[in-house]
Amino acid sequence: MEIMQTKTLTFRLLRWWLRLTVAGSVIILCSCQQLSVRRPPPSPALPLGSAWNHEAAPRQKAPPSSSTSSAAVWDGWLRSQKTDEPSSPEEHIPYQGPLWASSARQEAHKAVPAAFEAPLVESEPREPTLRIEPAPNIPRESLVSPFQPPGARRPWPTDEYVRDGADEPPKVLVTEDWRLTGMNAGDTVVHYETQSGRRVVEPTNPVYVYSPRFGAVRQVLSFSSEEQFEFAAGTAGSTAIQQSQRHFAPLSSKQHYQLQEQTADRRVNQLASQQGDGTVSGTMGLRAVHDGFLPYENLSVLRTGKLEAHEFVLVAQAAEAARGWSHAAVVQVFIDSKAAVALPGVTAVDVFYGVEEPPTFPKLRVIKLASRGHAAPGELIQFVIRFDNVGTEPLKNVTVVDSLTARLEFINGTADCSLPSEFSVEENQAGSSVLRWHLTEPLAPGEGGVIRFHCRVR
Amino acid sequence: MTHFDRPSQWLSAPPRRQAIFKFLGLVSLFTCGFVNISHSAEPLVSPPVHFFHHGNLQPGLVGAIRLQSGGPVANYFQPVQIIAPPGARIGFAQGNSFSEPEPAPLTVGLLIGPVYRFRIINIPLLPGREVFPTIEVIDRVYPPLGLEWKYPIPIELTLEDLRLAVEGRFVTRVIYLEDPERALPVATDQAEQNWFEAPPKTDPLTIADQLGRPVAIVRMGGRVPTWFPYADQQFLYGSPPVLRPTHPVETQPAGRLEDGKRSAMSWPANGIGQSGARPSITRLPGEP
Repeated sequence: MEIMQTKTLTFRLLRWWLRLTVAGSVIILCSCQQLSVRRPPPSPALPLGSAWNHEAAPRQKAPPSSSTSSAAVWDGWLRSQKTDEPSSPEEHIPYQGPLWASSARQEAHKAVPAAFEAPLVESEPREPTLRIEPAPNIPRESLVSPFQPPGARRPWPTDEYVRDGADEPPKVLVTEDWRLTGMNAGDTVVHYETQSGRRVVEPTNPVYVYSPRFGAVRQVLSFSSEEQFEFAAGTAGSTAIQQSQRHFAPLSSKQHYQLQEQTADRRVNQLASQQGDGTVSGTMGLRAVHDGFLPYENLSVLRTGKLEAHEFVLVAQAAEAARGWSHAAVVQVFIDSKAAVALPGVTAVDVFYGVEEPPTFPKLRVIKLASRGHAAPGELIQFVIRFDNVGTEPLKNVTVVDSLTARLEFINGTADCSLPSEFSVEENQAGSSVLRWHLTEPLAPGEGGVIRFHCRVR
Repeated sequence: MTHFDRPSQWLSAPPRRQAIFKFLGLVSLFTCGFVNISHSAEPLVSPPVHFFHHGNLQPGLVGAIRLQSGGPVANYFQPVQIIAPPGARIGFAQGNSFSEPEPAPLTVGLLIGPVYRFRIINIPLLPGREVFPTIEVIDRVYPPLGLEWKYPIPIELTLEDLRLAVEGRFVTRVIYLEDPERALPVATDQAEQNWFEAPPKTDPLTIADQLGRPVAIVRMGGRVPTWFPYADQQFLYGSPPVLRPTHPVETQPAGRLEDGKRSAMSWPANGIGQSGARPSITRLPGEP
């Protein structure tokens, strides 16, 4: 009886499991049907691009909500739907590059004056005469969003596009002697120096230009029939060994050198500069006093600026005494005509004073654009690099470096910069050129410039 | 013995039964997940499968394997531009014969996978001789919308190739899409295609796969139709359909007559020089 009940329970469980499996399969089949409906399978009569360009179709705008569904609103929405949709296949807007590039290009076109719309001719380097307007308000999110060809799903074939811009791994670093490491062909970066001496590398956005280039591998064979190849079966000559070489075992082994010292990669002057200049003034010794030091002030910290351990108690007493005075007579500390605030220490009993200023924010925004989204070998492309100091401190030694890919050939005489700069061209490892603009003057906050050059697609 | 006719009774079941229910539920979830993964979308770029094949395989086999690997390649007419020496005329297999020879370059859309037989006549310096090459498109390119005909796959048939084929040699050309990361830093134009000579006992398909992405295989020489003008279907590979552009295609510059010497003749094709025309793309019903 117990066995029968167990079997009955098992059968019911299996029945429920079967129902769940069937329900799940139905859900999956429905989802697959949705996919197939969204992406119709191609037929032999389909023309070019019809099998995968469905995502490039303009999307419909959302209809107005019910709360605003008046007749006028619905009329306007219907008219906008009608104007958005092309009336015939021939009226499709041709591809103008990625969407974000188009919008950014329009914004940059608004910001750059008309003098930059010079014809595409080779010219000699000249003095910058352009006046750059404030930086365009281009949303950062639209620039850094990954590019994707219209209608293509990831991973899309990148071998048909020529990339120029960004910083592919390994990342670009600036060495002590201002050399760049990790600069690959196709990278475009801007490196600058902050007020604190820190060197920052800021990459640009990548620019993709559709430019496939094809090659061929040829092999020529000759037909042969009724031919027989004969190979040598062996050699009959015998050669006796005339000399034997004896191998000697090693009698001594050389010990590897141990590490004796290690040279630091970075100097320690950055640490000294951060603590010495701005916040702590204790390291500055007194320059002159009218009279001799009184007994209570004849301390080492006052005379030389160095706080000795045996003076901790005396300094603490003097500090407490100063705090005990009335508000009107309290010690007022000013540094560079700015009210200083006390910086409480943890391990010291003395009181340090400093000026709390808003932290500086060095930031450089770099935007790179191309004049066209596709180009055949032999055609010209104009690149524009816009850089703006969007931080709060001036930037020194601003240098724009563009290492062109092997598919791009720089046209001499077309480099132009709106700010005073030193331009140089070198050869990179890919057989192309490395373009370098070094701004001769610091870039103040809010200022920016435009660099333009022409390349020929190889 | 407790019976569980309703799912609401499972909550009040003993712990051992609850464990059985949980186990069956997990099995169902894993089954659904496995089925869902197997129906996931196929990527655009397929792995480099050609590396494991040889260029001397039977014509049509590499393309068939590419079709089996999936992706948006089935039933897609890939534009191909056949470039021949100046003066040559090209016809493609149509029915039991060849189409009327047209002046080169000839731009047509070819399906991926089938083998197309062409006929080259009026070859310069080889009067009266004909060559019947085959073209097998094994992959496609993904240009932006509306630029399909502007960026076709160029298939260059040099005069030397045609001469070798007339002399009885078997010439194999594997057209590949160059990897821009490993591109040669040499300036080229649209009429001059970089090509390499594969040494004997090597596979041109393998070499092309190392240099980029193979997209087409051209074979010429060795075979002539049994009788002309009505060749057998085995020779014509069934005459697969060919898509003709409905608008003037922006053509390539003049080709080369000899190595290093470019002809100044202009191609007498129709619609040459009319740049800027957008192709007319017919869409699926329902697509805007």
